[in-house]
Amino acid sequence: MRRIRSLLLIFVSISYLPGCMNIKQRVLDDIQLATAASYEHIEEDTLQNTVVFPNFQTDKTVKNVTLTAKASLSKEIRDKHSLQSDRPIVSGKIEVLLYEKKTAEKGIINLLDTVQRDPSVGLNVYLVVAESNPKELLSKQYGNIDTGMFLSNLIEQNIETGLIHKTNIHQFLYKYYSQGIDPMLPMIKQKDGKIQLHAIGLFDNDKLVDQIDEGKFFFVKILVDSKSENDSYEVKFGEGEKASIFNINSKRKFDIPKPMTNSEITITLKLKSSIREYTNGKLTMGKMKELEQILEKDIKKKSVELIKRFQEKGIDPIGIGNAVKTKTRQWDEKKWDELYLSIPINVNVSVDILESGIIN
Amino acid sequence: MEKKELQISPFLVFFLIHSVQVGVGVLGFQRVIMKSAGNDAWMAVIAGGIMVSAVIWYMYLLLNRHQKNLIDIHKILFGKWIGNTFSFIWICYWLLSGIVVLRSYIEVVEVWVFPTINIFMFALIFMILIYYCVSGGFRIVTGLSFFGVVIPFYIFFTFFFPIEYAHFQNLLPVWNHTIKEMSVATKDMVLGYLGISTLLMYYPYIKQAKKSQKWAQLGHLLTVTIYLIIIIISIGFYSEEQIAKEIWATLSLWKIVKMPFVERFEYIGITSWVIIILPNICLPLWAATKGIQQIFNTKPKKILIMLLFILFCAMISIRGRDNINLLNEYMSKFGIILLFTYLPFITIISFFVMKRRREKLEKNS
Repeated sequence: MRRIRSLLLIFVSISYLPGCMNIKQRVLDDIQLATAASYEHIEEDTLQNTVVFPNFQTDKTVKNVTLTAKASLSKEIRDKHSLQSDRPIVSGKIEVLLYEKKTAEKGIINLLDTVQRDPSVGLNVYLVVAESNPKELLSKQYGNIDTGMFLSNLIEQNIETGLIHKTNIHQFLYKYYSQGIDPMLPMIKQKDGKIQLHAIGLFDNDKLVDQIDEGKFFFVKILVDSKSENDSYEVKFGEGEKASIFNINSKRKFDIPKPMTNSEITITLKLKSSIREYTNGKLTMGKMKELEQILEKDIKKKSVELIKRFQEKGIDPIGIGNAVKTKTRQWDEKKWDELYLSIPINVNVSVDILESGIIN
Repeated sequence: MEKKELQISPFLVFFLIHSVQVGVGVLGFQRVIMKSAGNDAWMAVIAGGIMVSAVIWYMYLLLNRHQKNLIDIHKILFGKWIGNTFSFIWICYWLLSGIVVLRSYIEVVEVWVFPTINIFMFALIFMILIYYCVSGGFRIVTGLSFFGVVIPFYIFFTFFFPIEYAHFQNLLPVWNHTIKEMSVATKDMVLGYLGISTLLMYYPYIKQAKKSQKWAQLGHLLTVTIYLIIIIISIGFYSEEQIAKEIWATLSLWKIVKMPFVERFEYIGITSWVIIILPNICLPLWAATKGIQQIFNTKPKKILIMLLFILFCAMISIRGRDNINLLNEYMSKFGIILLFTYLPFITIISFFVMKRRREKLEKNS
């Protein structure tokens, strides 16, 4: 009997012990889950930060709510946000981080420190550069979801359909910390009351230096990703003849005969594609062969132009330096940075049109 | 040799060896070895594995000769007083390794999940759990090791998620570090495999103990494979400078895992890790209890309570990253000295002592 009683006592006391562990409970209804945050330098040392969170209404709709505060450290800002909010704001569901263009030009790595340090923020967060005022951009509601989720879906959808390269905070940091490769981020702006993903921002380390506009996303993608699919490209030739192709898959290969010297580097692109649109009458076998050649020439010319532009700015989003690093034991980052500016880079393109849709 | 009904099947040694090797070390070993070996760190994992495999081999050499546990071997070789002093050093080592594992795990919980957690209570609950396991005897600890490997094994499949973002060309160029850098990395890697020394205590509990070496080596091979997979994925997933910043690179790998029903995997991973940690603490603690029991001839339950009290005090008095790191460092140096200098030394001594005694016996007869 005494044994049973003592066992019971131990059992009861054990089951109450976890209550003393001082663990803060966070009930979903009692917190604000921020979905996006934006950073903007308004003065030399002051940041303006806007956070977005969804407010779930009783009629099952979602309202977009934003809070704005100014401070010099971004965690300090969170306290200031908290002073304006009826419920604690937590960062576990952050999906998008927005940086105003001028802020991005000054460098964003210091602003990323708190995100890296915080275990509650995942690696699937999207980083975006905003060309228009981020506060205005975030405070408008664009669909029947909050703006944070809207932006996240916008970018995710475009990555999946193959319009832009794969991007998230991990890829940014990976490329930032890697030698011989520079990061890129998508850029958005507000236009006629709608959000548009209009450019890809090119970074030199963590500073925004250049941007590539919409029409050239195709080249960025086939050059940056070693394997890519789903990209589409439109070519004009002759008199009013137009064709649009769709990439079933493309492969990129670096050919570096003598790494760390001034000898030519060749990038080989192999595209397997199908035709989506053709405006000039019947598409014969001869026409297809001709089209392949035209495409090869066109893609080669524009790719070389783009790479020249990268070299002039001294940035390397394609990761040519990174490829050189894997081929040599004499890797020296400083020496490479000098070499890169003047190294001749050639692009070989081969296009293979496999299908032409369901009509001839 | 122990009584038949107290013994375990030889194949269970597989789980005993593997479960005691994989612990908190897996969560953050990358940073240490990649500091010196960079993208060649995977070679250090293999080299370290081979070295520890040799340790298992000469541990069996010693044990097979005597068919007794370490405490008795010490008594035979050095006599009662000196032998017991050496035994006591080993007992301290086992206790210390229990302390290090549990404290490092609590730190992970503190940093990743509950920053304000009351360590006093958390440690107390752990103590009750450990008491329950260890007081049940060696067979219970073995069962715990078995489940500590089998149940959480699904976790290792989640390490394949980051492959989508991995750049495996980072592994190239192969071998661009000096022999010196590689040996430093190998030394650091060996720490990940420590813990196998408990075999010296549970050897008499194994049926057909001589045949169990095969299982011990296989268990060790599984550990090496897991470490190898994780390091290769990490080299691809992180860049070198990035990994230098990650204290728990393996846990950070989980930050990219996203499944339809769970947004983030770390929390599931860290809580499942308790099952992996438990045999890691219980086995050395059982070894320490058994050792003290043999030296002082007292009741094992009293010793266990005393050891748990020391463990508990250590839990609540060690605070902060620096101190935990320092403890880890001491403990690993201690372990390396014991496994790589003391054990070969005692194996050789035992060879000569036994040879001489046999000769004496032959002369007398």
